[in-house]
Amino acid sequence: MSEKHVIYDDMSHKSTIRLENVSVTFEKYTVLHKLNLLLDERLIAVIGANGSGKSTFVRLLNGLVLPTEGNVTINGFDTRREGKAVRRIVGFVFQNPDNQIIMPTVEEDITFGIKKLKKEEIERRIEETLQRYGLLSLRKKRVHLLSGGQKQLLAICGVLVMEPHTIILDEPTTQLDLYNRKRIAEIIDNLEQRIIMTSHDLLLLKKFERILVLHEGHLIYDASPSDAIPFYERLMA
Amino acid sequence: MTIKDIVSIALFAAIIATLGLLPPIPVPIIPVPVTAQTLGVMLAGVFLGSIRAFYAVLVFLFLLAAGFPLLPGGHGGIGVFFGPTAGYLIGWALGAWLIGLLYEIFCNSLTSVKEIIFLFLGSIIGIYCPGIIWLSYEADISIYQVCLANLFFIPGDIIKVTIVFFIIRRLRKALPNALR
Amino acid sequence: MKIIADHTLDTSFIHGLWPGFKLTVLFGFNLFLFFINRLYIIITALVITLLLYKVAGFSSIRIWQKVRSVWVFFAVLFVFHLFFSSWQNSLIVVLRLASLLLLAGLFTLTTPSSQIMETLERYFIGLQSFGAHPAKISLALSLTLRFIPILGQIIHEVHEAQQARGSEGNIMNMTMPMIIRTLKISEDVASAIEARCYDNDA
Repeated sequence: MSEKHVIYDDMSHKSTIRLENVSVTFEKYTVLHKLNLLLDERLIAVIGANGSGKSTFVRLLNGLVLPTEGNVTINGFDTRREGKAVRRIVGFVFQNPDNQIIMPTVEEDITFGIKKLKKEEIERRIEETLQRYGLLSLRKKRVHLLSGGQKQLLAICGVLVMEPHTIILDEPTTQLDLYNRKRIAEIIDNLEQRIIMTSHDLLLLKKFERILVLHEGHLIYDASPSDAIPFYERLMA
Repeated sequence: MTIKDIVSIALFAAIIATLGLLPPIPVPIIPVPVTAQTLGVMLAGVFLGSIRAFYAVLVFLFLLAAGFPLLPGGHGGIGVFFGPTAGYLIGWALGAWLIGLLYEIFCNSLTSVKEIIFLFLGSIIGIYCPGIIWLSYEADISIYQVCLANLFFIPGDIIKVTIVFFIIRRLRKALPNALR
Repeated sequence: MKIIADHTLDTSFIHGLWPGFKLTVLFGFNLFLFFINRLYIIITALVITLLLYKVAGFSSIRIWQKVRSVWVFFAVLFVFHLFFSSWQNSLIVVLRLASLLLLAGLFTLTTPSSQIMETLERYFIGLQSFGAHPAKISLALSLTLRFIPILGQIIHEVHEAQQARGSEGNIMNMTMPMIIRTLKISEDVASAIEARCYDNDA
């Protein structure tokens, strides 16, 4: 555990996300306008109304969406040219776990992203991750028999076993009940990795270090939660 | 095959399987149950094009052979490939491929009449030919007699082609980009 | 939502046989039957098949379950041949078909589908030099198994929603939303696979 801590701390100090003059256009619509950002805090949140461009923004950060103009680099890796390398260090948890869970059973799904590793290493990581998040007893279970909360946990575990040092979560709690929202919040609190999250759940963001507010594709506010949340609430009023 | 291709192949294989859960389509007058699964076969051809549609049906047939009960009434297993309907199942792959091919060839000049003809060609040439040949061989009945027996299914096919035709039309309105 | 395959958990010596071996025997046996037109050989084959069911520990009910779905067809076929050829021919055709189906059914009953899939997938590796792509094939198979319950759920939801609106779901109304949702999730799933570092050339 302590050894891992050191590795992650080490990486998160170095890891920086840089957006230079980034615009994204789909067909005729410009979804994001000229963003210039340097992100190196550990807990970063992106908020905005539906359609503000936050989903596109986070997809830029692991190369699922490529900028129409400008460059995005993660630790110096360009998402356009080195997409695979970027995705190896940046994990992504989607809003709907059903779209992210690919294999029919828990174990097969967890293994999906790490098939290339050695057998013992795969075993160690699966065991450790499932143990840590209380899914060990469900290891052989069929995915469609899991509850909503368990599915979201599995989706997160599937990303964590790949040991990325940045994790993007796209509205991870939207489909969950209060109990499971709290659980996910706790998990996020306890992660050592850098977190970039979009959410409508403002309570989840209290502990975050930096909040970006997007509005119709423009970055209109960039501050700590104590400033950004009241601003956002006024904006939405 | 890109990842997206594989995903759409799997999705249509799953659609074909899931349609087996629906109650059979009732056909007036004739007491023959008609499975909704061939709707999925035709739709695969229309949406995926020849090659991917062919693979989608193969994936479905593979899972069927592996013992998953994916046919109506919970039937499945390698036995269905030795049974009287085995030829029709193989014909699903051929039919999906044929419909896909016709849509690909005529993608720039599609008319309603052509579409209906394509869907019929797919279900009649594609699905019936192997079905009839196999059944005639296995049951030791002449091709001509099997063809006569097959006429019972034509009303069901008319209904299915109509349904598919309207689904495609409605989908063109709902999702203009889904169909090239 | 029943997509659990039809095999049992009992064990017998037949359950324990290597699936590839069983599959080969099954195909060999059935191929042989197709070229045989002697009634006594076909009856022997049927008896052997029934004995194998006993050896594997299945009751007669299981055997009946296997032919239940086709017995009408058998009856029609029998009568047909009775009229147009001979009673011997009737028996040959019907009994041959019965033993084909029963033996194949025994294979399914005694072999878990995961094992069958593994075995068949191993044959794909042999086809690699002909352009087959084993990793992609297994991805497609797993994805399909993953999607079936999701689509089943969608159908269920659509059915409920339509009942709530007072319309009995017809096939068209059931299928449309399923296809639309399917086309929409396909994009998400593809990007999820990419995000999870699936190696395209693996």
